[in-house]
Amino acid sequence: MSDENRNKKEKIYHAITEISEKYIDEAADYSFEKHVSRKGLISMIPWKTVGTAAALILVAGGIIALASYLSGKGEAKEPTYVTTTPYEPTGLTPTEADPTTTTTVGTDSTSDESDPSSTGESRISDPTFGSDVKMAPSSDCSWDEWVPGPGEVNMCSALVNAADNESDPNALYAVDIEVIFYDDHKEAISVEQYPELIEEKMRAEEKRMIDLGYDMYRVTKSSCGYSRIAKVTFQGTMTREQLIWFTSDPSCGYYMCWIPKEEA
Amino acid sequence: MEDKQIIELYFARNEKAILESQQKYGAFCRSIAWNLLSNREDSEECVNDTMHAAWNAIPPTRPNSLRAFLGGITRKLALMVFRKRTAKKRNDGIAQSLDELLEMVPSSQDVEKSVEMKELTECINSWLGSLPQPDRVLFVRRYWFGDTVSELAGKADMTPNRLAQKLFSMRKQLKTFLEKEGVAL
Repeated sequence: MSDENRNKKEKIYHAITEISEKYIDEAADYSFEKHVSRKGLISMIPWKTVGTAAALILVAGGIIALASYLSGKGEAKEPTYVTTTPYEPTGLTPTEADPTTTTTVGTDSTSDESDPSSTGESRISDPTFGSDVKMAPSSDCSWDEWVPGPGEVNMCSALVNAADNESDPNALYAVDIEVIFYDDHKEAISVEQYPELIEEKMRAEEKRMIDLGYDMYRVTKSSCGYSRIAKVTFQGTMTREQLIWFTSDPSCGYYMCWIPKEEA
Repeated sequence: MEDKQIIELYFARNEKAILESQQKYGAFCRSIAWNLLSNREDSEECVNDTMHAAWNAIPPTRPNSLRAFLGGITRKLALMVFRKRTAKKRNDGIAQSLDELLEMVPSSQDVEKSVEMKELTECINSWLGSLPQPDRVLFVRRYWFGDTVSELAGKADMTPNRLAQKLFSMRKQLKTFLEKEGVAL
């Protein structure tokens, strides 16, 4: 280790040593048990049943349902979206990645919080929702920040940030979630490889989302650009609490579609 | 015994203050030292030195939180022990933690522009204040208490992999924050 590096490390070490006592006490007194109990947490979430069961399971109709849902909110502000740069799974060259394939996360807030001018974000048209939407700089949320585990959903901190910046607790967030399937060597696998198995996993994933009360619809499987990669996209809405819980889910159990090596 | 009472004992120069501190926060300090040094003997020495240092520091210092105050001394002493040791061999506990910390430090060629420690701490405090409580606790437990990733993941009921990702993301956020604040080391 160079002297420069050592000095830097020690400086940040000392700075952290001197952080506010309240944070130290908070961390010392914090009871993880109180906060990680899934049952407890679920019961805290004000579940909202949206749509009918039929609509929830309509795969092809999902995007239409979502679009109608959004357009039906005539009084709503324009949705806010945060885009991410596309994650390039192992084995794909950059040219094979479709730059238009992004994961978007945003708010469909009915509050007055979403003032586009306050964030300095650029505006582009999002074909998915057919409207002018606000885009955060992609650097806000890079896939680099999120190294997915086996079968782990590809998401990033922007989800939480978007929720945190919204003060209206009743705001609904339009959320796109991409789930990419990996084997237990963290290699992305293709639909062509295991079509039936992946279909089964995707259905199970969809069912879990519905069972857990998320207003999420499966809209695509293996979308363009990543066609070789088994990917399912869910779209829908979540409340702030759902979003926060979703992104901090301790086990990822219900949105992890891990395909064990032996099974694959 | 309440912290206030223990502090009063220090101010009264009553040696019972050390005993009470040991009793109440000895294990706490020991775990911090252990997390950083992974050595029983060194950890024990750190705790004893912490109590001695507290005896010398109080008064005039009157800590708001005796626990945080003692833990802070332990951390500083642990680094000193670590320095002595690095001449001999690399230690995994603190070395790994220090390696991770380096990632969040913006680089700068100009040493003259370095910010003072206090300013850096204030920036970190400000950033910590902006975090949701669970994230803040995870960060502090990892980088102040020195909890290992696997230990912390167990407490938080997360997979170590997921926690590592979360910590990585937080370090990047802090780095960005420090850069925005113009902090360079």
